[in-house]
Amino acid sequence: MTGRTDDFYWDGLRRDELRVRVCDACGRAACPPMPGCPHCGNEAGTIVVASGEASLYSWTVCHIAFDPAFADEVPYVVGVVDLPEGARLIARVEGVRPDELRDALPLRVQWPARGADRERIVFVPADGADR
Amino acid sequence: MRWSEEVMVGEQPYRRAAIAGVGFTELSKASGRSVLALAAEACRAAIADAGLHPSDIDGVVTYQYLGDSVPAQAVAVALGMGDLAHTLDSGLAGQAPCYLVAHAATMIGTGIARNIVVYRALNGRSGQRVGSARTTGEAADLRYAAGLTAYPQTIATWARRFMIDTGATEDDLAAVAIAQREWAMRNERALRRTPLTSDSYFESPYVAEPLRAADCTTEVDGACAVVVRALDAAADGPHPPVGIQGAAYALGRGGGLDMADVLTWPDLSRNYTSLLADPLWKSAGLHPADVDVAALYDCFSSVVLFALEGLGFAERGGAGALVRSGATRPGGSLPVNPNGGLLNEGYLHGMNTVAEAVVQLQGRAGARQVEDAEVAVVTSGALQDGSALVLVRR
Repeated sequence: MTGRTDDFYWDGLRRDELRVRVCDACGRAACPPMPGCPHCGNEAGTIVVASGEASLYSWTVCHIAFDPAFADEVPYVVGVVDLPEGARLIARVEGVRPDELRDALPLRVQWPARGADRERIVFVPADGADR
Repeated sequence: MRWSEEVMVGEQPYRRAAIAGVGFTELSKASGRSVLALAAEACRAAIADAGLHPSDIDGVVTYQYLGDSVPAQAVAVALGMGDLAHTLDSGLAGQAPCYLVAHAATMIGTGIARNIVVYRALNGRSGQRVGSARTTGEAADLRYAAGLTAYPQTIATWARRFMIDTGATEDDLAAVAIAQREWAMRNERALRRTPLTSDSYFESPYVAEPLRAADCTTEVDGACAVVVRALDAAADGPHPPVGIQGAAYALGRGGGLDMADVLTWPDLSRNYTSLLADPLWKSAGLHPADVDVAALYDCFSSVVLFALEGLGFAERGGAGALVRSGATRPGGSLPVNPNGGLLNEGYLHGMNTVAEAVVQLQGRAGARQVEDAEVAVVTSGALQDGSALVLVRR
């Protein structure tokens, strides 16, 4: 624990859980984790485990790695995805050709193999075969 | 209501001030000089351009991003200024220039200061680069984990959603880049001056789809400054004073934990220009149809399309057609970024966007001069928040 407001989020990823903070007043979730609700300003919230479903809202195909850490991965797709719980998330989108990306493409979270990067969220098409 | 009606319709203090001078350093890929040396040179040039001496200056205002510049006090010392009545170091980035000019004008209009220099200085190519500087915090860590680490990628997600919601295409992005390159060829200061055709645009490699290299700003080392002083005093200066007729800043609800945090912003197809258009035009008592020249912040070509629609120059979904019609090119009905913009002149973080509007209204823009330019609109910023000015030749 680092005492940061997002500890619960990273702790969840280590357990293959996508955790979001839902506002106790308006019932909407928000990411990134923050000490209040950006929708209504209420302070109190409850941490819940999200379903892992999502819908593609926007995306970019990254052809250049501005951070050398990602140089071996280009081109890769970063998506802005909507969770049914009401939060948006930034995540990798895999298992789909860039020219098949479209608005509202149904997605589901795909957890990495043991030992892999536990901080990267990956979504794949909801109707796709397991990779 | 972001701005009360009573304040809006009244005579704003900033109307009593004017921009009197502008100054630049050389723009380059590697200045080989300190940021302080660049800042001092640009401020010295702007002060002289206004017909003043550094000892006449009693206010210094600047902005930076993640500590990439020098504070106002350093410039005051380096120029041997005397007692200062006002300084401000803003952490706002590209949203700042219009905001800070309006702020300086307000300080003058309320009698707090007499002559304020506003500057931006950075070794933005050879030193710390704005677009890919590492930010920290909850939002940054979340997007870094996914590989979204730089502004071109962030802006690309806005551009993609804009295309989905408005029907804009890559041809529309191309039209922005091509029109502004045509302007840049008339500006000796611009770093990119080779002709850009539709073919060469589409040969330009993708950086972050839908943005290509030709859609991205040219990072530079350099500095730019403007001097703001009382309107009546500026009237005796060497150049026609440029009055601040209207001003606005807006940050919408859910603006994110940092500039690149898009996750709480409800609509990535609309940026701050949609929010500040009403207060801006009301504060100025003018309308888009009154504008002779537009200096629109353009770190990326897509941002121009957002602003054209946000400010009301085009209907929703109409910005691309407006640009493709040739309206924003030399000789068009709505000249946009006659200096070639940040895309081509260079990324002085929007301070040069303000300076271009000023020299256009003063009638000293040389080969790129827009004929009879009397009213200009200027924007600062690309994303959730930003500022804008309506400037007029007095």
